[in-house]
Amino acid sequence: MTESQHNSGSQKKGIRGIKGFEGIFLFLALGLCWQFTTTMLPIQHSALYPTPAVTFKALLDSMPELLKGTWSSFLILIPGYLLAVLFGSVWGIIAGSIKWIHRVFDPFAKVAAPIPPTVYVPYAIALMPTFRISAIMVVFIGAFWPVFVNAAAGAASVPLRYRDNAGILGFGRFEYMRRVVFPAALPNIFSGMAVGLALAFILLTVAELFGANQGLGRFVQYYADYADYPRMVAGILYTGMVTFATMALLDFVKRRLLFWVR
Amino acid sequence: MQGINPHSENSSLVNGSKGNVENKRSDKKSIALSVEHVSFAYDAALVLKDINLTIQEGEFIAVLGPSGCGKTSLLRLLAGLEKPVSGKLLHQGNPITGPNIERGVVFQDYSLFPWLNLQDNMEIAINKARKGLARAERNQIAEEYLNLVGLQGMAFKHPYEISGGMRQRAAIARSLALGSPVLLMDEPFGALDPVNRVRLQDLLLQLCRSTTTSRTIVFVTHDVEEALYLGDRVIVLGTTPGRVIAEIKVPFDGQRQRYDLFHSIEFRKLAEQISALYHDDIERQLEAGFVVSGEGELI
Repeated sequence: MTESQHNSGSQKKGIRGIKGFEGIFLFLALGLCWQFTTTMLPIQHSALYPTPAVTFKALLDSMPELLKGTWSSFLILIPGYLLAVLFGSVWGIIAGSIKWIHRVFDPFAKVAAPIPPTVYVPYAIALMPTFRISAIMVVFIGAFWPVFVNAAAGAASVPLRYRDNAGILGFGRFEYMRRVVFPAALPNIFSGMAVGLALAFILLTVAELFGANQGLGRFVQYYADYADYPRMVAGILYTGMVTFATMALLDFVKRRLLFWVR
Repeated sequence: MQGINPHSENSSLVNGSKGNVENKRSDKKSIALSVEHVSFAYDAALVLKDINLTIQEGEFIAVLGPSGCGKTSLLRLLAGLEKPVSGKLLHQGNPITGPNIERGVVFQDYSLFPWLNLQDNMEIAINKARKGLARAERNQIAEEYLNLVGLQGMAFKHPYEISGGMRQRAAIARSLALGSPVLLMDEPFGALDPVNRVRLQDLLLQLCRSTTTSRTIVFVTHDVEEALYLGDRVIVLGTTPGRVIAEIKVPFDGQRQRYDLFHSIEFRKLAEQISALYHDDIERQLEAGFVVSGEGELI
């Protein structure tokens, strides 16, 4: 992951200006294609397939509602995700580096981690007193496993050279965990965090389809129910942009913290 | 031993006289490390067989051997990073049960933590050597040790930002800052280009001569000239399994001017003798039925 990023950085030599912006052309092409197919072709259900202009108008009109929905969604996403990152990385590091804990926990992790977390959604909503708490719980479960599994793998495979150095410097167990295992496992933790964040968004929107009265997933579901497809498509595009921005933020933090990985 | 003062090291670096060094080296000191009938194996493969070795305090021992002779294993045993299959390893009479800051190690190219800059890498060692120092004091000591190895102004660089030679300088500085009376070096200059290798050899000799505390050094290498240039005594290891095939007291005491030494007849003779020992060992292996195949040739 980081290697390819490094490569793309060093390849910015040849044609200046265009390099690094090729992706924009695809967006333009897709936009033109959308424009063309909605306006030039005789499509019957034009209500189901709104033109770009109509969609953008719907997007602008529903901006206040979308922003409110974003806030509502983030009140679920952020606590659930951050708790998952915290517990997943700490517990992953412990389970990855202390052998007996690994032996106790590994069979359970092997069984529980592959369960698609979406199946918890109905039960969580039934179980928990409010929708928000149940959604936070589902996001937590979904994001926990990727972070945990990756942190444990990273901690279990701390290179021998770092262990040797820690021994020579006379590190105690806690110091070894904090100063060696944690930074050494950090690249793995970030891979887990990226997978976990994508899953968290999926679970968030799925949970909102079930029981929310506001939020991004709810917005899409609501206007689909009322057959207001321009707003629904706008909601999908907006959710995509929010997801992209959040992932980009994570990637930014990752690059800042993992500057030493090459 | 833990509270070594970099100030005195610095000043003695300037004033360090060879007379002192010769006195230091000729003094009969107590035994720092002893290796008694040590054998070591990786899984089923015997790596070291019945190694016996006594290392005096303040001695510079060069362990010389071809690759695969177990010289790194010997060093790791001395560091406490591995346990012998049989035999005993002692440090000042006490059995070596695990790694200890009394025995610092410089590895070939990975003594530093890549996520810490040089200053932070140094500060870990300084913290271990002398607990409870203020941050400003630690920073200053880190800087002094970095200056000592010629890394002025590099404190905030990370290991990936500097060359291999600089990394090894920093690794040496860290070992010095740790204040270990025993320094174990595993081909520390093996990955360097010839120019940097020469510079660091000279730096190491200079540091050994100048420090007031006598430091015992075990230096592993496969380079005959490096072993002769640096060591007071050269231990030659043979292969499969690794064992001591010769112990040579290096006669060029104190007076080590690289050019003169390398071109002296005695030096060349000794280097040839040691190379011959290598070859005899390899021939013995061949007679014992080992097959050497040509490049790309399947056995």
